[in-house]
Amino acid sequence: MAFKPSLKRKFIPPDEDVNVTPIMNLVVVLIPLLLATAEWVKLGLIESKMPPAGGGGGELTEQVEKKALSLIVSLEEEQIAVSLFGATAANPEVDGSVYYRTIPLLPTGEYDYAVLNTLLHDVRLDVVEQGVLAEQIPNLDRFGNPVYNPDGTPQLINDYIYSDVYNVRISAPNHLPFQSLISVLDACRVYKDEDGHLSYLFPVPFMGKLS
Amino acid sequence: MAFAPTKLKGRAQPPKTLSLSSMMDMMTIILLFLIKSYSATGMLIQDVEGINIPVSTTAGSPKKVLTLAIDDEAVWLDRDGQRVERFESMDVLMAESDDPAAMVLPGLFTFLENEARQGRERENYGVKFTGEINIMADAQVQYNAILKVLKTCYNAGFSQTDFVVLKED
Repeated sequence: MAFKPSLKRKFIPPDEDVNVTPIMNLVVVLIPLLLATAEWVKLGLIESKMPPAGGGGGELTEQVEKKALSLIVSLEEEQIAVSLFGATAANPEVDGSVYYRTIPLLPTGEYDYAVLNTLLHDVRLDVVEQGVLAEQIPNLDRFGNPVYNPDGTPQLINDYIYSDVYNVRISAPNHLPFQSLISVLDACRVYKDEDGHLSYLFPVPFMGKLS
Repeated sequence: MAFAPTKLKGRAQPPKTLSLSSMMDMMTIILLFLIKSYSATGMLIQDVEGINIPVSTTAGSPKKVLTLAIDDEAVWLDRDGQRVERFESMDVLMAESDDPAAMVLPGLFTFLENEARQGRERENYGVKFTGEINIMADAQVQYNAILKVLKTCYNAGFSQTDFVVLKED
């Protein structure tokens, strides 16, 4: 006698939707929360300083014996002039090397920030990084407090034979628009290589007048 | 003769549920967009209406400190995106002079000096005065005006000045 076919095989479960109501509740709570914490306009800050009274590069007393890099970026009417070690257009050489360079304006009449950025990167590599001392020193923030690594150890940075390796003095004409100043500060602050790696150039700017 | 029983009436209808799938799709998109623009700190600085903030590549994060706004009219004290007090006008800001004393704006200096003094007094109660101040200027404001505001801040005791910029994507 043949067995009766199983009923289980022929049973087709009813087509049921997934209950999404709990997820909907969660989403409805999350959306107002995220709306309240959303940053619609992404604002940032750029550090700026006035030149120290009395001029000069070195700020700390123990660094008196160090040399001053004295990097000056002058935004002139027809060009950008970059000067090191006090070199000028009249005396571009210091110790037999040329430390005064100019960057002409673009055909559109704007400053060439990309070339300025590349030139300052070259200065960082060819001049500043050649003056690294053997010992490293603790990294300090702008208030003079030590900076720590995530593991709690003090962050160490290179010590240089120059006292002002992070400083750049900006000189500009009175009528320079603020956007141009910000673009110059960007060009002076950081360099982005072809792989997208960022390296700091001269992130502490001091503002001055074009004499 | 009896009627044949109706095929529809009396038969139990399956319960009808609202289809939430399309709404879920929409909510998911909104959620992703909001997560992308999420900021752990929220809006610490609000942009002031009428000021076209310059664009920068900086990664510096905003801080909630005293903020000055410079537009094409004057220097203002900014509080949560509102101009609450007017200081020197643009005529004074743009006036050129070789006198170093002319670089300090008297109205702004008096206000900032008072703020700095109050800040130092609060140090007795454990609130550290850092001398930080934000400057939010229009992209077209000229360098001379910026320098005067910087110099005034510096002389009044606010030595840590930061420019507020719009981060480039």
